[in-house]
Amino acid sequence: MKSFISLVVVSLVLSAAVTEGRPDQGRGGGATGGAGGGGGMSVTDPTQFEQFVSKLKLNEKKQLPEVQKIFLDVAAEAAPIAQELTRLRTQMVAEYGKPDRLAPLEAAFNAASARMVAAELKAFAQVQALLKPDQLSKSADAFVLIAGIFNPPTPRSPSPMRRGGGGDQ
Amino acid sequence: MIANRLIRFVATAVLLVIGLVGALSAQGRGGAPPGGGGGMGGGMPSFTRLGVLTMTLKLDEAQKKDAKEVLDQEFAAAEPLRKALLAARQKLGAAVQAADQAAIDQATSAYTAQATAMAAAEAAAVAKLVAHLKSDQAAPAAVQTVVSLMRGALAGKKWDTTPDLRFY
Repeated sequence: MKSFISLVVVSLVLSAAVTEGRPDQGRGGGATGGAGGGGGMSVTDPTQFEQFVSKLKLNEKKQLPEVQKIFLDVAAEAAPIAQELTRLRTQMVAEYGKPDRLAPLEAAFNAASARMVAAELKAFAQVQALLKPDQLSKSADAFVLIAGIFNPPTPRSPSPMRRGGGGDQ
Repeated sequence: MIANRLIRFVATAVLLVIGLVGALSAQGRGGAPPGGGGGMGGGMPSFTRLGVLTMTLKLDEAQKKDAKEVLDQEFAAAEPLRKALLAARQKLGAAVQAADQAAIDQATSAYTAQATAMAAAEAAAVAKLVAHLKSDQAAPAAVQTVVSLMRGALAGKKWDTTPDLRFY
């Protein structure tokens, strides 16, 4: 099960990196978003990874492939943490209204979040090692942009096989 | 136990297919973000959270209205959490840039506390949403999808957006 989850995350991040990892293709890159600041984005807005690449103005030929590999490697390590966070969220829903049962779940969520942040810090430290001084000066904003990047994407459609149709049934 | 594993497996498989199809359709459009474009170019259509909720849970009009009301209220109530979460992340970013390990440790603790508070608020919102469902609508797999769908819903500028923003 764990290896399957890892495969899922790696596949998603890889495909995202391959398709999204192009610096600012005229879609208004460089927006500051991250933890709570990027809401209300339209579907054509740049993704987290695009924003990250754009913010740091990564060199497409030299730096980008290395950064993609860093994110892939760390994503694989972080997959079990993402899975745990999702499981805890589900349990928190089930125990809503029962403070005695919620407290340990929230404590566990906090601990898992700390491990996820550690993964983000690890990836970012490796990226920083590749950066030039002018890029390093944007570290703070760039780190904000990768909040939660190792979490799996949320569903955007009711059924992966369904196409067309409106929003209601 | 087996049912839980099955649910996790199905949910993960759905995420995999959604992610890969979205990414591949994006690749076909020359590198646009996965799932973007509301079905342009033959890719899967993207829905806002309310659209996904409506179709996934098969909400009737009254339930859809209830869901919107619940989530509007929860979103408004989460305003202080949103600000605190963003501020905590920015503080962590500043500590990272300063390469100050003590500050990073302290900021990480502050940030994860805010992330936990936000996750708890989102869980509460889902629980209130589920309370409006009929028993046949609240199957574990459907609730699991809603949990995934609502991750980050209270952390942005709006909750009823196309979900793919991971936020925290």
